Amino acid sequence: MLAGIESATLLGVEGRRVLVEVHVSSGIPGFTVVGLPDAACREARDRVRAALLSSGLPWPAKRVTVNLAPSGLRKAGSGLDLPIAVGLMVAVGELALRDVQDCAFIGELGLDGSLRSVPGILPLVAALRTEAVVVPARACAEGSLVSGIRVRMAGTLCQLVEVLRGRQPWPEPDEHDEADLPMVTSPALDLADVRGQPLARKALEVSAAGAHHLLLVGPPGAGKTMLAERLVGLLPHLTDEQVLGSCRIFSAAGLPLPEAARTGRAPFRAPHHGASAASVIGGGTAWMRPGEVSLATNGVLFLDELAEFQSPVLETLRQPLEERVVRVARARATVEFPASFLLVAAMNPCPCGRSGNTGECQCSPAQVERYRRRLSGPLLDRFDLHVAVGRPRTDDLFAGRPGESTAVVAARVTAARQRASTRGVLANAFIPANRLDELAPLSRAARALLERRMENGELSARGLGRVRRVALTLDDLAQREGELSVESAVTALEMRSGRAVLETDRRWPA
Amino acid sequence: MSDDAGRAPAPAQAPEDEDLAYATGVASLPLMTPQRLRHLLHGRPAAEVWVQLRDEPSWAAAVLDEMASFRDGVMLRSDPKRGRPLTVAEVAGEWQRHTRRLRVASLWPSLADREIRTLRHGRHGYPRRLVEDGEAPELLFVRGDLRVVEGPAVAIVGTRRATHYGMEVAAEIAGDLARAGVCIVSGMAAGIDAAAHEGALGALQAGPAVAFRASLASLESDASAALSASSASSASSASAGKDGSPAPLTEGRPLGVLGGGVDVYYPARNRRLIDRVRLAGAVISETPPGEAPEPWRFPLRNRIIAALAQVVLVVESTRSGGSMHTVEAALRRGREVFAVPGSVRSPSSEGTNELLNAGAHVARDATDVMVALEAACSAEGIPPPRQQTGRGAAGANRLGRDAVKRLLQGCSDDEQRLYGALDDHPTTVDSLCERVDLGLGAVLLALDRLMELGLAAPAEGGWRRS
Repeated sequence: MLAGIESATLLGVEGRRVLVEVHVSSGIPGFTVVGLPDAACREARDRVRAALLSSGLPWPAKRVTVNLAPSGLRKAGSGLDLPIAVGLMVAVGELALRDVQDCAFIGELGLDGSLRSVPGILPLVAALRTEAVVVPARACAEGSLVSGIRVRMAGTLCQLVEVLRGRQPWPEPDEHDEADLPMVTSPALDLADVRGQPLARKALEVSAAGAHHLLLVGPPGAGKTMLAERLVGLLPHLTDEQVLGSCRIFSAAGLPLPEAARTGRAPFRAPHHGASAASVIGGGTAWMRPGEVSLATNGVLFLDELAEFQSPVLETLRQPLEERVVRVARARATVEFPASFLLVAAMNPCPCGRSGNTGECQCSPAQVERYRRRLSGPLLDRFDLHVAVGRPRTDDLFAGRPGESTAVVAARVTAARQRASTRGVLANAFIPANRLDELAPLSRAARALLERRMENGELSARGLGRVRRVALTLDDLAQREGELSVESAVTALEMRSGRAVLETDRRWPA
Repeated sequence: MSDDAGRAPAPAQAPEDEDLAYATGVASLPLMTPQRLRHLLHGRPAAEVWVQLRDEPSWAAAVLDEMASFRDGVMLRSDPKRGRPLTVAEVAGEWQRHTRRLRVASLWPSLADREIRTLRHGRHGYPRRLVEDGEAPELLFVRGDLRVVEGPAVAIVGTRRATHYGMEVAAEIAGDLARAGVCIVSGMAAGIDAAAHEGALGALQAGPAVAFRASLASLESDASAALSASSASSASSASAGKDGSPAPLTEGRPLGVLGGGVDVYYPARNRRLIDRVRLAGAVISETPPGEAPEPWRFPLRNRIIAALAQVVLVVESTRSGGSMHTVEAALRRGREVFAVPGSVRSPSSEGTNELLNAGAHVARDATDVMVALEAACSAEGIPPPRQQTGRGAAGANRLGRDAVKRLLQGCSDDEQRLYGALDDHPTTVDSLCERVDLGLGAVLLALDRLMELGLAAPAEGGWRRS
């Protein structure tokens, strides 16, 4: 009369084990689900009943109590339909307890008894401690990414019951299912497509090599988006651990698995500037869904038209940029999402985008001021690279030499990252300030240059640290040994000059 | 600001100066315009006018009816606030209501607190050039020392949507003129106006050689709102006044003519600049203190600028910009009008190029303006501005051709080629790399060296010659 079935529910990007206890007793017929189910979970009753009846299985005219233990944990979503149904079968004696021994169940039920996939199969399966787990057929490939657990599949409840009774063998995932592993595929974009723009190209390379956040400022048509989209190709391929981490996040968000699962390519996320804070950071009320910052983990978060984002959304980015995790607190739970991403942003210098010296820009100084004020100083400070991107010249577009291809640049980036790893950091951007003197000593000429720029107020003390990290990355890319070269220092300075563009108006009290 | 009082030519105004208090009261009435104020007050004791407005609305109605802007007791144009033409009776009624409510005595102490002096047409201290003017404001409110405008004075005006070129030229010419002892009159608006005043202030604070750099530095310090050398020096010019040893007025001091009240900082971002102009020279307005500038005030404000200056210089203006009002007002008064030629493709130079086409004088530098200024001074019978010694005022801040050549001789081939690739407009680093066919690092190092030599400067989106 009592059965306990292992399953799991999703909290953020982590799965939590849940024991589904089903108790059937005599009394007024009824069906109660206790143990903090959410609305979708509570509706399981109706789906389970219809699925059982459609599958030709009995629905007991008795009092049924389902407890989802631990009862203090909020259960969300419909993935507990299947364990409830199986538990019920065991409790009424349709299935023997040993049939389901050491096996967990995850899946949503259709009214016709079919099994449907739910978001987060990967983290859910990873959370289980049983020998085997049964998941819907569609989710089998995704679940199989987890090692150490046997992933079984079933297409319908009817089929599953037959298999559990030992009358049929477990269905094997066929080739078709394997190919079904859902993936986003985007064509590989090559850096060779970008003509001219040596400074911006270099900045892209530096950003990839040193994990320096990059802000591209320039008029429309300068190729900011084109450049940013090619950054992913420059990043080193993800490690298996990183791939699994990204897959878990995508799975928990209910998205098809990222391309990384197949190719190891870093994810690229480009939310529209209308995005809400919850979609960027994560959260939501019913289901704590990972946001864009988490989806971009191990990869690139590209914010096009940065100044068009709502300021509160931009300000929420400050904490994940600093701590590389997002903590979303709601009344019921606090969830921590990974958020270790490379931020690349693009914006126009003014609302009309034509700002420049020719007087083409029709924006009033107040408009420009308002536009630029949307970006707070602290946020701008987090960009190591502020690069002004100009429109390429027409000759470049037609006759210019094609630039280096992604493969060539990526090789340099990988080599630079290896040098960074000998310093005990993942990339130069993460070098702590107190180790700069040891890891990035200045050559005499570089020191003189930086001192001059500091004296005339072009460079702040905070900016100095950033310039040194960027210069170190530049030296790494050029395979230069020893103290920071003056050439790298002056290039690193120029790669902050976009900052001056943003502040140009304030140079003249216009 | 005890220094202001100390410098003022008029004896410190006593709060019991009843006439000015009542005049300010009349000026502060709703529906008051400079023209109506002049018709009401002209030649009459203000207290008497006040009483008439309060007790005899028919008198005010009669005065209004005589004005050209009224016909048969109705305004010719609709009132901007009410959206329809008002009758004289309505206006007079409004004034009666307010004169009954307002206590004039309460106005005065607050004015004295803010160091605002009130000047009435025809009385002591009223600027000489305005006295003779047909459209002179009946009342002027002043912060600072208005004697600055008694000597040679040039108005430098232009568009708010100025280009880098315009701002630079405005600052340069203003600086050179200020060094020659010319008062720079401007409207304190964004763009050209502000650049001109910055240039003039920069010239006051430093010797000729470094003046321009100083003015640039002060612009930057405004940006960061940090304490910098220039803010320190502007503070020191203020403290010089406190020591009781004000700098002699032979140097050209700036004069700002505001659209709103003299204690209203508009535009707000020019707050610091307005204060610096006030401390170094003066800011004036015909709008009663505390009143925000309404759009219709600005064209009227421009007539004061034109009347106070002997020469009007337009640096950059769009075809229909407010500077054109100033030019019209200047021409009506027989003032010489100069314009700085600009690119034929720049919308910000459309107006100035058109002025040149219509016969305005060409202003390439301060010397061009100086000739007309001397003529105006001798006609007025005041001492002319000092002549610049040595190299002409023209391009005093720029390196001469020879100096550039000399500096370049000490440069490497790459640096020389790079200088050749630069021009007066910002060029992106990318195009520079292309033009001289050098690597990014080499180009940037060469640019750094050229910058050290004062031959190149970073500009919006790239680099240019400096």
